[in-house]
Amino acid sequence: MKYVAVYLLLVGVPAAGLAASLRAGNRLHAPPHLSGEWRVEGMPLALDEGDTAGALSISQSGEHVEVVVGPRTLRGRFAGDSVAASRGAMRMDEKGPCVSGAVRLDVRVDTAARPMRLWGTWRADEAGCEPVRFAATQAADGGR
Amino acid sequence: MPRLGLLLVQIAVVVIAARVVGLLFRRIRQPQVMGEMVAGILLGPSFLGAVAPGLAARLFPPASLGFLNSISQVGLLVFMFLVGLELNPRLLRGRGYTAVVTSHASIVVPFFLGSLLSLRLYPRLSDASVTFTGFALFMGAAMSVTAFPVLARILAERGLMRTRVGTVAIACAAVDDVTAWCILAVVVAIVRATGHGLPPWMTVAGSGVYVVAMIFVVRRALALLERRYEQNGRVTQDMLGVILLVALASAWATEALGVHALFGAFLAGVVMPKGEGFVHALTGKLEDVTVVLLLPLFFAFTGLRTRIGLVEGAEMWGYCGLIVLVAVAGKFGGSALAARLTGMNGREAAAIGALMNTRGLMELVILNIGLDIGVISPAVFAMMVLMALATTFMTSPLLELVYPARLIRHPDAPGDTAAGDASAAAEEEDLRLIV
Repeated sequence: MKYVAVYLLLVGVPAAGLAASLRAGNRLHAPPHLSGEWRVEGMPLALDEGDTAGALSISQSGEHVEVVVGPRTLRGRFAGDSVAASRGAMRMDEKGPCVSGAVRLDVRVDTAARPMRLWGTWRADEAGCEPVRFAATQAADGGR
Repeated sequence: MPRLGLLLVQIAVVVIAARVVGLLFRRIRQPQVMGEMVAGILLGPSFLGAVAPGLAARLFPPASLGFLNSISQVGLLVFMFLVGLELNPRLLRGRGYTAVVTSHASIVVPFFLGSLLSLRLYPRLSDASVTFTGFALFMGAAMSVTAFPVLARILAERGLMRTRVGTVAIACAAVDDVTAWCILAVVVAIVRATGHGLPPWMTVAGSGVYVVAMIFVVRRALALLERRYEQNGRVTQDMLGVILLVALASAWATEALGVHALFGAFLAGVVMPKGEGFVHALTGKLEDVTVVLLLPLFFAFTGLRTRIGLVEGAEMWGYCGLIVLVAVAGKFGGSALAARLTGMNGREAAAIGALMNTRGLMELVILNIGLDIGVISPAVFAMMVLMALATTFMTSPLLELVYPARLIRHPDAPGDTAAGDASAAAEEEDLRLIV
């Protein structure tokens, strides 16, 4: 009798808890799936001449996103319907403040569209560098 | 560098790093496999990529990783076949009530805590392409894994194999291994069913039929191999060819059924004849190349995918700490409590908990599957890899703390160190230890 009670306590109760947590969790919502390639519409995502990124790539861990634009990797966060990502200055072969300085990406995402679409600005945090306004469409899953 | 040349350099670097770091870890009384896992991380973006990005980019360009991955996957198939081969139903018989309750509790408790943790992590670290059920079941399965091969190695090294602690731990780990792989097969089927492939009912029904066929038909047919072995006194190349073909065909079948190739390889090992001589001879043919050459490639590939930099800031490190805490509480706590309540003394129960908490490379295998099928994100993958390293690393010191060598009650020769050493060597011979 004691062994049955121990078994129920150590196996039965957690099993019931597992069922309950699976039930409770089905009401939760996770952020939309942003991972993958996004094709920039119309023009390269260029801060400077010779900067020819025609796509950006997003890798996502829930709210946390990593955006790769050409040779730059930005880290940021998805909140509401917006992504804000940045990275500090980096050493690059090309010289010039707009290329090697700190950069920032601020976009809004239309999560209802299929395929999803985003639009916003891509800028270097330096005086004299014009922000680039752009839009992009989700092309394919990045195969995480 | 030409493709083949680069691949050979990669393999050489990986093997050297694995041996060197593995030996260093042995010096600090850690299982060698722990060092090999760390070597993989050191070769990836978390270390080499950070301190020498140019060298890392030249040595492991992304376009070249497909070859490395393919070879490491073949190595994993052979490794999982060996794990299944080593699994002897004899280990499960007659272990009594303690083993039954402890093994079940050591699966269900961490599974439950993993699903509870998922309530917190899912909205923050997952995305809408993954269902909560898939995420929570995967986290539960990943939390409930015990590294049977590493545990067996630690038991043998400490001369614990024939003690009460050793027999219960090895039986529980064997049950956990089989259960975790069955659960994982279901999780993979659920996750894949939402994306592509066969309908879920076909995967479940097909897998059930396949397992039954392997156990009741293929296992009997394979008994012929053991008879041939007894006639020849060795595993011939022809026999080895047939055995590898069975393992590969089984891997292909489970992959086609929408489960995972590794499950099929494991199952092929499980249904192999279990005669001691046959198992020793077969393992001897396969293990050295697998352990020295192929498994380090898997560790390196895992390391190349592990980006500890994604665990950034207090919030992310907080989640990582929570994962380690829940993993230890579930596995160590659940196993120790079950052992204590079923009659073991406090130290023995704590030793069972410490042993069952080791996750080793079995955890890495499962995590890589999770990342491949997209059920966990890169950041969760990095956190779980850190958890696997932490729980494996803590096993030996924790065991020494709660169940020091001087207190081990060896049934063969109590208090006799020389006899104990001899016994440990005999135990190692009894159970070929593949890591």
